[in-house]
Amino acid sequence: MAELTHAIADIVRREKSRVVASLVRRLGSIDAAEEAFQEAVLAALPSWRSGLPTNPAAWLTTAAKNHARDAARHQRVVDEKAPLLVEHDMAQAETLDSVSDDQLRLSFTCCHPALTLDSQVALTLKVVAGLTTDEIARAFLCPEKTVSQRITRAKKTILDRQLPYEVPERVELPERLASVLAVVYLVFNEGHTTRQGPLLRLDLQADALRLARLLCDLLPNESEVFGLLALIALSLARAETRTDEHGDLLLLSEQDRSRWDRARIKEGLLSLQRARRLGGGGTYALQAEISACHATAPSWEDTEWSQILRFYEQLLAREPSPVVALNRAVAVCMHSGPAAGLEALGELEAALTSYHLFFALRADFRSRLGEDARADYQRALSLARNASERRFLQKKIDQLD
Amino acid sequence: MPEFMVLIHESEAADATFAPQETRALLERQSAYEQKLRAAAAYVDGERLRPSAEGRRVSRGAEGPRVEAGPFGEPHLDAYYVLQAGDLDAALELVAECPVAPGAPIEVRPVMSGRVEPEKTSQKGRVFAFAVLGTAPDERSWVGVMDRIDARTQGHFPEDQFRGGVRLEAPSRGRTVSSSGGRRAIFDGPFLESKEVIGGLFFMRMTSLDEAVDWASQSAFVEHGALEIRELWRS
Repeated sequence: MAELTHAIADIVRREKSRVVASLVRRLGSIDAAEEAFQEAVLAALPSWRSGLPTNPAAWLTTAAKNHARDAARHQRVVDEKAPLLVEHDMAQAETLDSVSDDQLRLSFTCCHPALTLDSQVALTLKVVAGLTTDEIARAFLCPEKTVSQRITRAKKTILDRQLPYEVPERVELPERLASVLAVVYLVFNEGHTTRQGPLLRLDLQADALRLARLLCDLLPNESEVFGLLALIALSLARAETRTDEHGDLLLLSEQDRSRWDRARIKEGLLSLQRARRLGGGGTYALQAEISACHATAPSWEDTEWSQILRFYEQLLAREPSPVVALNRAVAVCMHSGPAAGLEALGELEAALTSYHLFFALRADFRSRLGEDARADYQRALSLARNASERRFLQKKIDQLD
Repeated sequence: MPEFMVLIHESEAADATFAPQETRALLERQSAYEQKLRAAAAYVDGERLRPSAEGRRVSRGAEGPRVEAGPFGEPHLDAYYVLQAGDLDAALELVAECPVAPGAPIEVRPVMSGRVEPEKTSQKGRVFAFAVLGTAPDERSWVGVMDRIDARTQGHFPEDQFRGGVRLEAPSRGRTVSSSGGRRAIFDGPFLESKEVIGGLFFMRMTSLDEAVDWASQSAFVEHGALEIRELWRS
């Protein structure tokens, strides 16, 4: 029974966006679509006990449509003025194009810039990635109530402002797509960066990978979508080696490269290849290029630092950012030595004055040059965000003695 | 001009032992090779398949269709090209430079009939490759199996989903190129005795692997042979 529930949960996660997407178009609201889908899932439990259907998604779609139709009929009996659900629309068979288009519409609606970023993320995870409110809350370490409020608010905004359920026009597409990709990237990053609690949340990263793959299927000729998939796959390949047995963060230079997931690296490289073929040069593709250099380097020292530097420069030209400049300084140090690295850090202090990594890095460069690094390490320690980072920095300070 | 299907097999087990920089170098060489083929106008089509671990194989079991999940036997289909060439020797010449992983065999098989739609992965949605497999004690009976499948499945493809397909000539009319230690050798074959031999490849747009399996299970293909279903890899 537990196994069946698990299998159904898996199918729900996988198929939800496809079924809900087509229902939203027919029913006119995400809420009504989700409700119909939920009813279908409830109906599935007893019916599937004797065995899963060969095509569970088709089963769920039919059951959800039936429920929606019954609900609409009932509504009309109760209230004659209730909006007429066009029944032939319900009976109309879906074509492959309509399914893809619906999923794409749904993604764009969930990531509409009129919604707050928090709401976009929560709604996308719930409706497109098929997570439950509880799962989202656990992943983001916040109360379930907060998540459900965000989702409710988002749905209300969609209704109140009548946000269109459509794929943006060609002119609007780059900007709107950027906002969809930003949501997926944020989901990935949330699973990747350290905040409080567990250092890495692999589930969230796997969800981000799934969302990125879905977008690649829906927008197969957009370079940046493949850039994002490449970036996620290449980072995910290293996820298992990012922490030591105590759960402390390991630097790239300290990780056991033999344990990197080679199948994921291959997926990343292939996606990157497609991103390049489609033009490349976007911010996700460039970050993926850097990630690919790391993922394929035999060792930290034996990394193509000159290539990496070139990609950082292109990245900075597209999107100046002090954090990117900070990462570039690491490449400068590896390529031309710590003095050059220190010089590259030069102007960044003002922008990164509360960022522990800036000081940790400057401390590292200074100690390589034989200069006093204690003050910088202390500063980094005072700015560190979690216990793991503090342990790491304390160890460095202890090593100075 | 006659067309030839080049079937590149790879061992995923061996693949997993390659250092990432070797994988990267191989992928870059393959990409360059493809550019060269396209420039030479010999190129008709080509796609890479997602890992066989994600694939399914549908055949006839004692009680209805039998569905097996990958990975399947080693080595197996990793990518294919359809090339135009004057004859088999010219096709083999084009394949001589095709970069493959060490030890990976390449099959070069004349196309008997049909055509594939190019640029399948540039369209939205998922596209699955269906490899038609047949086992028989000798070539004559293998051809018989493929003839029966062909006759039974003509016009059975849902038109809006079908993305083309080809039937291949009998195994003895093709060649297998094997490479080891940097040297390549060309053999007649593939051999029927040892394993299932691919008789054709066709493509369908499907919303999911489940749908593809569902379709395959109800098709006439599995009454006589087996279908291996593999999703195309956008790369």
